[in-house]
Amino acid sequence: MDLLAIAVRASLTYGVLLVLLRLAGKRTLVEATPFDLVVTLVLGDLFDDVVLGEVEVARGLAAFGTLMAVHLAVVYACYRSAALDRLVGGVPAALLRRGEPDRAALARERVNDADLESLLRQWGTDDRREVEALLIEPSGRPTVRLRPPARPAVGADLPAPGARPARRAP
Amino acid sequence: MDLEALAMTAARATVIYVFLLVVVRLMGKRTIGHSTAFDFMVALILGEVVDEPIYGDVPLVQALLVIAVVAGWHALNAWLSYRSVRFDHLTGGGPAVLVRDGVIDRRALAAARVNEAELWSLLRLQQVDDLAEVRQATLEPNGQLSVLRTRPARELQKGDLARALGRGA
Repeated sequence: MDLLAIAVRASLTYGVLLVLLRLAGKRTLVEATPFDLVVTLVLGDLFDDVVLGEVEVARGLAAFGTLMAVHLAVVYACYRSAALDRLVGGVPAALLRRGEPDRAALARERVNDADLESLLRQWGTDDRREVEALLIEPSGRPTVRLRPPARPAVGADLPAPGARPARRAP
Repeated sequence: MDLEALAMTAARATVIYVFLLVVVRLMGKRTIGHSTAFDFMVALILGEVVDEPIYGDVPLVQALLVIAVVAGWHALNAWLSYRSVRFDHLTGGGPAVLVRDGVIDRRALAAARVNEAELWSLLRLQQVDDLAEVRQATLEPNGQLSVLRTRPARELQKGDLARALGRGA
């Protein structure tokens, strides 16, 4: 197969991929879950064989179209059914509650104490007492809810204009 | 191109999709993806192994076996890493404290193969441009730099404000 044909195929493939991924929607392949990441990698991997001419375009499109259709169907079904969503995507796992580790959850998610400390440091704290809850979201990313005193101060925390500052008895 | 070959391609793609979904789901949320560079590599391997079986160049059962074996080893690795922090640090790399109390640890920097320019770049990403603000900066196993600030440089918390306004903590 000559080089010009490869360049043409690569260009067409790029365009087709762009259109198909655009049609698939934002939430479908943005690594919402580890499985979305794997599906994205699979879809990308299907095309090198087509570009290099090892596989006919029709077969490439059949494979890509099938995977895309099945994935979109699963994503849509998960959107409609919360139970299916929990089955396919999982639920958030609370690793810490009120500063106390949930040992069973840590074991299920394979997060050891060193991992836990690393996750907290990346959230800007190394004090578990500041933590109301630490969740592992279905995406695999951690989220931390701090206890109110440790949360960022906002405008509403300031005294109202004209309010007298609190005075303590001597 | 006959329709039967296309239908077979579609069928194999569907089988592999379902198999991958079950395998990845069983692995847990943090085992595949971006927890460490190696977790990402495993995702790449699982994603790259399936094009040939989908196109029928390799028997389907071989691809399913490869996926199961790679996933099995990685699940074992994740379990051992959970059980033993030493094993975890051996295979995943432990955290490396690069700055402590505003002082750069040159030895830790060398061991982590991070030069000073890279460290400053990582610090700027965390909105730090003064080492005096840093209580501890750690290169975490996932490759991210975490920064714990000194108290005066830390962002104001609700508790700080309440104390300052005399409302108690």
